[in-house]
Amino acid sequence: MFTVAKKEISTYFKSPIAYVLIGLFMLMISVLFYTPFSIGSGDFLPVMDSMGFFLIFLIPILTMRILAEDRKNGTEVLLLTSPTSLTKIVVGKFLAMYFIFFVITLLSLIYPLIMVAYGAAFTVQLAGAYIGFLLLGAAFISVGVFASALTENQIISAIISFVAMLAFWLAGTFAAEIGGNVAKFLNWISLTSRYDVFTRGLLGLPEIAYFVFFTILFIFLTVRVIERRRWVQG
Amino acid sequence: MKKNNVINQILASKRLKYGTSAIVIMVLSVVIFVVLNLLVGLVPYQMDLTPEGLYSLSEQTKFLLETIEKDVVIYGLFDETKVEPGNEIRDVMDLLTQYEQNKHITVKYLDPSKNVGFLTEIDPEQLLNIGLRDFLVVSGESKRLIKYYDMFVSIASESTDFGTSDVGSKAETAFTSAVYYVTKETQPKIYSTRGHGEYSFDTGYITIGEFIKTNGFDHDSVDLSISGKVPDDASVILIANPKEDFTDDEIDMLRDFMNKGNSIMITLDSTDTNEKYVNIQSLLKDYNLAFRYDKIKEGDENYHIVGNRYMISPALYTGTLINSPIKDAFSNILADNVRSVEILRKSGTWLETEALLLTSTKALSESVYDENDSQGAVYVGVASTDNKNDSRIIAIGSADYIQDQRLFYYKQYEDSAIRFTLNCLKWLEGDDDEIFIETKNYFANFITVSAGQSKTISILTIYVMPGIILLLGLAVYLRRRNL
Repeated sequence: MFTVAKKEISTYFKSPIAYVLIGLFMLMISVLFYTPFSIGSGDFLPVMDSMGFFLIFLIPILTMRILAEDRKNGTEVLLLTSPTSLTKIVVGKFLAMYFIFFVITLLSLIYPLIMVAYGAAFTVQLAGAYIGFLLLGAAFISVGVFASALTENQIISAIISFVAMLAFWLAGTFAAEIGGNVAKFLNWISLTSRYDVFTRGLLGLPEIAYFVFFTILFIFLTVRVIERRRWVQG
Repeated sequence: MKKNNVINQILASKRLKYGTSAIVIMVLSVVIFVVLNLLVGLVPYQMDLTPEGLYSLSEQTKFLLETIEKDVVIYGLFDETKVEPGNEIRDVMDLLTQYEQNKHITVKYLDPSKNVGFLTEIDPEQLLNIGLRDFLVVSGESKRLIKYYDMFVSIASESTDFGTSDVGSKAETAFTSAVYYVTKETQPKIYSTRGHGEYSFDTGYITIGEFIKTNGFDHDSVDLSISGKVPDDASVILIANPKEDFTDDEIDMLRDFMNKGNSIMITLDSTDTNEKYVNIQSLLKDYNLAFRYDKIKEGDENYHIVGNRYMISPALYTGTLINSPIKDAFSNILADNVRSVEILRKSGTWLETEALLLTSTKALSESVYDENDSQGAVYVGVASTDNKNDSRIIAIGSADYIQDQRLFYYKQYEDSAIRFTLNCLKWLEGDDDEIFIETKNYFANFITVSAGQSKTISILTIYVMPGIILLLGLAVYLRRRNL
């Protein structure tokens, strides 16, 4: 599992894609960070709200090739026939993506630390929001990995994961328009509503559990999709 | 025959066999996901990480909730499913989950547009002026409306001409006092007097009036010369900085009121007029007290603000007569035009008198009428009890400390001034339980940054940092191309 993860991480950092993604994400945060910083605010939480939304654009590009490329190149068969279990391979690939995301998250800490250097307080609330961000990232990456398992076309994979993440993100906003039991359901599945709890300063067991189970579910579904293809194709 | 073969082939195909089982497994896994989340949802544990404790109840609220014995329903008058993520009302909803931990408290959300009958039943004459996103706290026949804007501290926004921005939460104050109010057997009523140029809850004392209402009291104003008597439902009379003395008849009405075991609070600034307040002084004299005709000038810099020795912050005199609420309440008030209050040497063991506010020993009492100034510590707030009829009186030598403009310009003293006054009123009313819940001002995380520093940081973060990372990517790309 860790061998697969190491190989994938190495592949990513030997290609320009990881640097381009990290660079662009940092640029987006920098632009958002500048406004509160320039007017003397040491509150990084509003930026974190937007960072969550930016993941919808970042993660599909990050994960689009993780399984689709193997299928396109015909190396998926090698993976399936390797002594390592399919679950370990998928989890390894997920961990590789999560490592890159974790690096991005660590780099984003530069911004609140700049604020701290100018007199802001690094609050427990902000630490809680970062926990939420890490959980949100895990959930999104699992969706991206799942989408990548569905097709051999990287662009289609990116579009599928982008649409799925956007749907999970906007569910809460649509809920507010609809109301009633449908709204309750949409709020329940909405990743915005869950992430919002962290950025508002609450560390909730139901929200942590939701993100963890959500991630496990999509990793499991990814394994099932590949497993099914193996049996169907013989 | 051929048809049967096709069906058999389909049934025997791997696609159907493994495809079907894969779909079943996927559906099952989604069901397990839902069930697991629902199970965890049964333990809705949430940790409040906010510096202000926005989602936690204060010790005072917890104490109060432990004492209630009546069932209380808190109605949120909106469709909770239509609250968008990030809306500030979600903070209130999360706070209410803490109230729901109490077995007597239930929280329900009702869309007013779909529950017109309920609203008509609750407020048949539409006196409450119920609006969308208000909350209604109900216990039996007793009810209290909490307006949406009563749950937040708002200030005029600097970014828009007419907008406001929220700088704090008053939700806990509002809900705790509402629960306190609806579960009390009777609601004490405080009347401010009118007709002598004094402040009332309509003029000058509007802020404290609002806090009085959210702290379990009703209030109104009365002109004794018109009403002819103190209203029967009055528990406490507030006389706030009258510009002229009360008449003999008015004082007789107040004496009758006091003889029934009621209470009065008088606040009076130092003035340079010739008004002598003979009748008010005679009433105070019954309680061993007198206002002096002086103006306090503080000599100790710890007792006045920088640059104005007449704007003083008196200390609390620690006595024994009054129970803890008033003493605990006090931290720091700020008062201008302060006069001293004298404790007379009248005999009578039924009278118990105790100082509340005291100047420093370096204070100068400047006489308004003559040159007889004197230096030394003086009282500027005193409480007195007549144990024969259990009536109480508090005299404060400043009306200014709780006046609207003072609280507006010296916001940092507002909590102390209001808390002190509320607890004085509660002591006068005979209720020694303190329920004042402080406003939770949003944590202000400010930084000090110059325009030059801001520009440098923007160049570093927007251009340099992403640029270096992208250049690294370019270097990797060029190296790989050349391999």
